[in-house]
Amino acid sequence: MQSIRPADLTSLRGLELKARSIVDGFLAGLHASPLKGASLDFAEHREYAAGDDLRKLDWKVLGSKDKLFIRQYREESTLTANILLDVSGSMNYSSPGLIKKNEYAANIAASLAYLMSLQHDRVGFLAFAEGVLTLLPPRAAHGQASAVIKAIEAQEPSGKTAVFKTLEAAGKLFRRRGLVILISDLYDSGGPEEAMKYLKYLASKGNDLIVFQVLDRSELGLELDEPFLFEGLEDKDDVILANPELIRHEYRRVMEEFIGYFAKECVKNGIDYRLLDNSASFSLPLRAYLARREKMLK
Amino acid sequence: MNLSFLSPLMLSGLLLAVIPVLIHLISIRKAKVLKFPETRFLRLAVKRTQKKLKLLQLLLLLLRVLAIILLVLAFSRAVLNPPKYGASKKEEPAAAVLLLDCSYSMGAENGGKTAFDAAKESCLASLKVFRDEDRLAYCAFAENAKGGAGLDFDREKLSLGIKASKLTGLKTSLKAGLNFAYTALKESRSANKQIIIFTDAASHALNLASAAEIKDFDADVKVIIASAGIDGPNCGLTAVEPASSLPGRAGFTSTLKDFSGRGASAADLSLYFGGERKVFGKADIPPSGTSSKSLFFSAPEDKSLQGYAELACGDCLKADDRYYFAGKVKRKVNILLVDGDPKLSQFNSETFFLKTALSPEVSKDSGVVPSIVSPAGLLTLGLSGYKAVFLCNVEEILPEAERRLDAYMQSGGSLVFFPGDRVNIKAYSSISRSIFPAAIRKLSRGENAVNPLTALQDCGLFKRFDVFGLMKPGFYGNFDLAPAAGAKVLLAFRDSTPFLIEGGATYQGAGKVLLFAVPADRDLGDFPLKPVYLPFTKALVDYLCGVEEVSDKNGVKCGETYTREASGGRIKSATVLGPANTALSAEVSGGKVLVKDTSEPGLYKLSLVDAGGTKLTEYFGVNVDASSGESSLSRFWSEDLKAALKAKRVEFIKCGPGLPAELERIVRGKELSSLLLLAALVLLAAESFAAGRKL
Repeated sequence: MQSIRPADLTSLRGLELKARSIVDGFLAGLHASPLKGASLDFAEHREYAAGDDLRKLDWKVLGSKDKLFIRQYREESTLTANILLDVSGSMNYSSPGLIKKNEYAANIAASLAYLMSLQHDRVGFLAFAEGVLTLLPPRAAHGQASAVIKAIEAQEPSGKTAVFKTLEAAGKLFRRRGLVILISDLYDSGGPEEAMKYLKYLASKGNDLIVFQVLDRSELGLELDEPFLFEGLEDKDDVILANPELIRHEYRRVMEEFIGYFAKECVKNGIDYRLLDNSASFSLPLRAYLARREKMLK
Repeated sequence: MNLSFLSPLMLSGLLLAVIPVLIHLISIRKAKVLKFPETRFLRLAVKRTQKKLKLLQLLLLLLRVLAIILLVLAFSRAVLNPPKYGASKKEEPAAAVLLLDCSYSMGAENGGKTAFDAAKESCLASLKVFRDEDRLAYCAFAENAKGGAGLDFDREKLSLGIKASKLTGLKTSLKAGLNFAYTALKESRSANKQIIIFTDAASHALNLASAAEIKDFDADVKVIIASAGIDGPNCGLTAVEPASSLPGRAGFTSTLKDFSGRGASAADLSLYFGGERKVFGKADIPPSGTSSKSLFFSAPEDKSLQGYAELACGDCLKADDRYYFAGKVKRKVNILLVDGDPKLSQFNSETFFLKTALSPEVSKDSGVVPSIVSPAGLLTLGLSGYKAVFLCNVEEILPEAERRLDAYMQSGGSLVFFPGDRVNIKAYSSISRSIFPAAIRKLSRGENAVNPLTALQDCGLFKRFDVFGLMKPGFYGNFDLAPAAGAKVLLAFRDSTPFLIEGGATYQGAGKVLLFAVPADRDLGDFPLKPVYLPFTKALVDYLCGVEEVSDKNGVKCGETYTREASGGRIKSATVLGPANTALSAEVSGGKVLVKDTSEPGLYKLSLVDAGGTKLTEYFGVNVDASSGESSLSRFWSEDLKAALKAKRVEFIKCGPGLPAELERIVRGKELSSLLLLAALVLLAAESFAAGRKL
């Protein structure tokens, strides 16, 4: 099965189905299954020693060789992951022919939730705009992924973005250390510095952070060919007349500065930062998550 | 320095300069609304580029507006003029000769206005182009350049001269005008000399083999052709000839020609006499071809006629649609036929065929009234009422009859002898040779026929019919005639024996005498039965009676000298009235009158008083020379004139409202169009570069 492209998702109904398709397609494309978890990864045999749990005794070896060997597994640990999904008004945008940023982000979030559930990780979900809108605490229970996906599906993009407030709230809400995945365009009303400040704060509390900055292609390049009266998606009164042809060069420079700031600061603070445009493959965030997970579990 | 414009109407295009501004404003107002995730980066980008952007937009706006202004100025043909003489003494006064073409082709009309009117207006308007310090000369020209004066400052005088100019019936000769102009300019020391010719540039007017033909030619003089030519169809009358007609009838054959290649169908052709239209008909003229149309009408015989033929075909040139002529109408002629062999049946009479030919039954008004008498009638009948006496097979001429015939001849009567079987050869040998200018030798038998090549070339008889038609009649006998001294053989048989002899004139003003070698009837041949007999007989009467025809042969073309020779004696005095009843000069030189001033087409009245005090009034027609090429309305071009004249600068401009500006440009201005166009292109290129520049 090939990995699913964002454009292919229009033919699928239901976020869960889409998430499964994305994850299945992603897994089928890998050479070896990356799924590892409790009781699954056999490491080696060792001779039985007094005090060992008899449940770990390898009865097959005892039967064939009449020796007591204990089955040893790799470190058995489950991960706590929280997905922070930006559902502010600015996410409700796409260039012609592409899926909207919020839809793209929702698919990433859902796919991650599904993948996490496959690994028996505890998945938590937080939707935010100006503040926290929806919160599902992390659980490893069966059906958690479906609950998360449903919660994702229920989100409608509106309101301003306040990443810093969300991160501040998350710092207080997340009692266990774990993986925090932020999916947002990072248009923080407090500015990038404020958002970064709270990302650092979250990291300082022992969390591992992955930041997926989701932007539309035209946001990056301003590839529009006529003058427009630009109206902000988060604030209708925020309008500006501009001729893209004339300001494109400067705009790209500004955007590079904005993106570059996050990229640079994240690297500096050990945060995994990925810029995604809404036409990029879904395998990219999934691969990032797995890589990070593996790193965390070592 | 100031700017003038050759196409000032184009300046209205300056309004276009507001278009970039409007587009700029409209683009601001009508920008579409686009919802965008984050405007803060846009705002930042705009803020950072704002200064440069505003500058660029201003620059673009400026470039676009300026480019449009320059383009409009270029299309308006802006001319940079040096300051007026009063303001700057740097430019020296100009000298110019204005030549106005008054040839008849300038009468071509378009919308009720002739080319001449347009040229005259432009000529008057051109005076304003020149400053008070400039010296000008004016001359109207056609085949000649008359009435022109030297260079002058007096504009009023020039203006009056131009206004007084009239169209003539003459052809154009550029050479005549240029001769005057170069001579007039010779006296000026100005380096800024020009000849301005207001003309239709008739192609045949370029009658110059080389500039060497021009007197005082100067290659540095600018030659400016102000063209007033009008394109349009043109047909005309090239000739009106008297048609072969009968006495008491006037007939004219008009030659019609198409000059423009368009032809005419069912064009009206009329004949006017005394201002009254006497007869009219329709005529077709093939494209670039000629056709002829004959019109006949009854007119009082022996009456002088003067009038004109007029063609109405809706063409643009009227001058060649009228042809003037003058002449007389034939009188009716009484002919006496003396029948020496009368029979009870008229068919068998000697004069039957002759009488029938002279007055055919089918023609009720043949113009000839034949009377038949026996030879005895010669003794009793008064002959003075007859123009000619035909003696057919009269046995002998008695002395009394001979005396009477002699007196008749002296008074201008003509005699024609047809011998026959009853002729007494001996008796004829004894009568006077003035009456019978030959001796009859014998009657020769044998087949014979007329040899037309023996026809006496200058004899008027043979000019009136086709002499080769006489080859057809066959003769099986003829009288062998020996011409008397002074008599001449007009026509001979194949065996060289005379067929027709004419006696020499014995007395001044005496009539003619003709002798035929064959009878008037069919006794010795089938001549009376042949078709040629009728025209021959008619020509014979015309020849004998010397009747006058309405004719224009004494007319001349405009510009030619009319010469009237007195028929005898000297001319005491002569006066001429032109078509508009203006008295013209007539030179009397011995027995001749010369009328040289024939520039106007029309009927001229010539009154003569001979040495004896007898007054005589005649008319003659003066017509335009439509065959000269003037009527073709074709033009010569700048290159033709350059090639012929070798002048350094030859300019063609059009007569009309724009002429003064054009003239000003040529005389002293510098047109900036190409410069402005170049500048506009540079600006547009700069605009494209600036518009494509990324901030």
